[in-house]
Amino acid sequence: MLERIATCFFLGVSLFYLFFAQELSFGMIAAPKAGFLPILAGTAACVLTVAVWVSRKSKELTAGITGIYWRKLFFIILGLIFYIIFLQIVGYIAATVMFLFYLFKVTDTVGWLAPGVLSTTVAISFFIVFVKLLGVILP
Amino acid sequence: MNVGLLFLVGLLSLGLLTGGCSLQSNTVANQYPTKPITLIVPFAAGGSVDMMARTIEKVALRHLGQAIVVTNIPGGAATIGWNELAGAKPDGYTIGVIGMSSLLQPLYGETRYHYPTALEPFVQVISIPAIAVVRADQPWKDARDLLDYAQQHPGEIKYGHPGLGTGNHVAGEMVALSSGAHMAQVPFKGEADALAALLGGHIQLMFATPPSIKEHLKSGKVRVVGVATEQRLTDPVFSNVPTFKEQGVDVLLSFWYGFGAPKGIPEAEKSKLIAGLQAMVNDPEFKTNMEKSGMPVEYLGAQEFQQKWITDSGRLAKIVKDTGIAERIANQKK
Amino acid sequence: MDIVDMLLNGFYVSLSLSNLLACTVGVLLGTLVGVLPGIGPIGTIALLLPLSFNMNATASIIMFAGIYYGAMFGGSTTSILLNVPGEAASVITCMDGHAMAKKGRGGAALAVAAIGSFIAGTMGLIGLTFFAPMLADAALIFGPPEYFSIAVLGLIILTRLTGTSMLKSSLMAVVGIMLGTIGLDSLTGISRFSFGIDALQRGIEFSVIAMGLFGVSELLETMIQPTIKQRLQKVRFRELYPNQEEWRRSIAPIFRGGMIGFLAGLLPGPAGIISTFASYAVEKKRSKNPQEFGNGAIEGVAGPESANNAAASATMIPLLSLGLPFSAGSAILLSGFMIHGIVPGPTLINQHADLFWGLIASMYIGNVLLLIINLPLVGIFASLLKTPLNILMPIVLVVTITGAYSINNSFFDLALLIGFGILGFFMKRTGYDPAPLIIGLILGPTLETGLTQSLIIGNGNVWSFFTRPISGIILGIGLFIIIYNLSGWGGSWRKDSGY
Repeated sequence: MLERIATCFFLGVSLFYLFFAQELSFGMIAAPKAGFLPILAGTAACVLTVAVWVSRKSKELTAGITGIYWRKLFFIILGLIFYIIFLQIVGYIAATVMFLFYLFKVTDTVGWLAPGVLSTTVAISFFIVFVKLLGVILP
Repeated sequence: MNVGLLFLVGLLSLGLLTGGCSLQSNTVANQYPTKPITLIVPFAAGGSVDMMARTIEKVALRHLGQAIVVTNIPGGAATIGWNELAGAKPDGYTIGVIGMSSLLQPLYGETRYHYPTALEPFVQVISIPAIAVVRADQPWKDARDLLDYAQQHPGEIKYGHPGLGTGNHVAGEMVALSSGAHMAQVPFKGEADALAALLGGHIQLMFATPPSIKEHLKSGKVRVVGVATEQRLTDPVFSNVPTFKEQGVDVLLSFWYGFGAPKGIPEAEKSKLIAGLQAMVNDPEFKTNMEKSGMPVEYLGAQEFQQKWITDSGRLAKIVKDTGIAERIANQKK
Repeated sequence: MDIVDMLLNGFYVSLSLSNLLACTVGVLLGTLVGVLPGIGPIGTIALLLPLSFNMNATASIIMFAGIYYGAMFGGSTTSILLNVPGEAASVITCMDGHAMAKKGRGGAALAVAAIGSFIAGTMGLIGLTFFAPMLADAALIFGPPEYFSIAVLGLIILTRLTGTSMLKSSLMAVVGIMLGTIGLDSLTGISRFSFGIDALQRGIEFSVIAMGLFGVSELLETMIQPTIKQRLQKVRFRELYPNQEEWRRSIAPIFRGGMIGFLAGLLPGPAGIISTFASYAVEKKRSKNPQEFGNGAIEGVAGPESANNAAASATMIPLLSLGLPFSAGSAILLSGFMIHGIVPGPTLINQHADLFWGLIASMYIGNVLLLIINLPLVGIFASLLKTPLNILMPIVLVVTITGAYSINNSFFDLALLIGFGILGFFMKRTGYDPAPLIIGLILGPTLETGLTQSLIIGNGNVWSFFTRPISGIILGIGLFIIIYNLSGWGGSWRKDSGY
């Protein structure tokens, strides 16, 4: 089931791409223009997705959706989104400390103090390594 | 549970505090600059333009009292970096590298800002002429020979350039237009790739700049058939290269680069900034380092640079239209 | 022999205190940078360029070169241990390297990677020493049609590397190519598929996608397991290093990888990455039990890691003998040269013999230094695996995100990272393999560039691809492989549908 969804997803992507690709002019064989490869690639992608859909081999299921703890996945992804937003607002160290702490809780670490201290130390040490040692600019 | 909540709240407020404190207020003009100045380089680290910026970084401190920090924002044929520059706050703390291509890009499509009017040029640092290069074992002694051949065999000569719309491409089309020869253009991703193709014999001609092929000229692998300047070059390696003008092809094109900033910086800061930049560019250490890197300094002060900015803008617009480059690029979209 | 003399002189130069120091600093920094995901040697060298103004030319170039190939050594560490590619060329090492780590053979993988890198790096250097000018000239014969053919062949072979279904893998490759066309195209001067988003104009950053598809998706997978508090197996010290059988199996792949990497490095484009993929493909084909690949076959680590170090040495060849940087890494080294007014090219060897041979000698020394540094570190790094997963995974996730940000300072990249991480997660569970997508992303631009240029040069004559000898041979091989596979596929299809 999930696999069919995935295939549909790719079909959607290919069609979307192809739609925009054909706005670019194709050109001639002697002077290909911007749309040349994109149109070819988009068409190939659509054909392939249809082929996958039809192919009998899709009956061979892979791991599939068994064993996905949707709740945890959802929380982690939510956390990630917030992390990125916070990075822009409060800066690297603060956001990272919060995020790490959040993640530790999501992965069922017991206690409050240990994760808190760990988050802070890790965040600060990363900051030092990346910014001071390597001169990378962090928010 | 309460302790945890308190902890989180504490963290949050700490975060907000640190975030807030970084907003500095900088108002007093006569103390400008009070913090380092960001220099946006819209090219990838390591390129010749980037080198120019980093060379300035070195001498900045003693002329302005504050350091200059180079930030690379490459991509989009430098438009991404220039967008960033044009959209930055005009408070004198953000400047950038600008060049001839800043005038070229808006002519091709929609760039977010119209650089000729959104950016203000301060000083010119380098000006590198366009040259035409062929492999040494080709029979053409100079541009005249080559163009005559091209006229007799239209479409056979292929010339390489680092991308549609780049200065090198424009140079090529100008030469083709002015001499009536029909040459096919082959795009590459950068000068190095085009040079490799030239050396391998896959293309017959390429338009480039002196620094990139100097070594090959010295070792006899290539021959320069023309240079797009008024006078012949003074560099001894290039002194016997005839100009295009001498050969009856009226093409003048040089790629220049300098520093500029978004329009609207208050007068007091602006004059200090310009004075500082001028001092830096004329600093002997800067000049020596630039010479060592193969890019001798061609200084133009604020007035003359601004003049050039405006005149070249008009000139390039006309060229791009005449050679059909603008149209060709527009044709890429239906 | 002349060359040996000059090489010895070079050793003399490179053993001077300042040069030796520069070499050490360089390789240390390179290893660190390679280990940390995201930030790579190119960014680091760029940052250090202004510093080198004050240093003497030889020392600064030695340092930069040290950073460059040091990073190749370090990149394997995080790939093996954490399934996060430390930098682009280490993507393949993630596949079997991490699988080995999960089986408790992480130390062995690290050691093999280190030693393989050393041997292959040295092999590459020997090639560089003796054959540089000849090889450089030979590389020039490859023109646009040849690059196109190589890209095509690469796509055909490498798409068959992993994954269950050829159809799905091909689809992934095409999707990769599609992703590669996003952004401002320098060939045509317009930006495609950017929808007005500035960040897209730059194109999609390959490392971010790799880190997302491989690293983040694996992290997500691990983090949602309920039994996450389980520690990875405890490893005894003796088990840290490879046992005899693993050595035996690694020797040949190391040499093969070295050769492949060396040849691949001569050509333009992302040499390091392509060499690893090619080496992996070769090892898989030669192996007696190919099913093991993807589950911890040591050849899958030995080959690719050696390849990418050999490629690093090889990319120096066009740079040093022709002055042409064929990859981003050598481009930045070129700047390192130009700062001191030295332009590499045909005259470099003669005019700056000291510098040239000093550099080469220092690369040999650097390789040895790296081996000495990395081997003991294997023990330390492997013990990192003993950290309970519930603590390790979040930290790794943060490192990955930080590293991804450091590439372009772009939040959009982070969004991409997470998006592709989620995509990769679902992809793995539905039988779509991410590897061909990466390959498509890398080879797509080369494919398109080669195609466009060749058609212009050939005046639209499609047959020009086949009439040129080199290109024709390469395409011929590709065609042969396709036909071979189709007939096999046709056969099994018939079987399935009950003929």
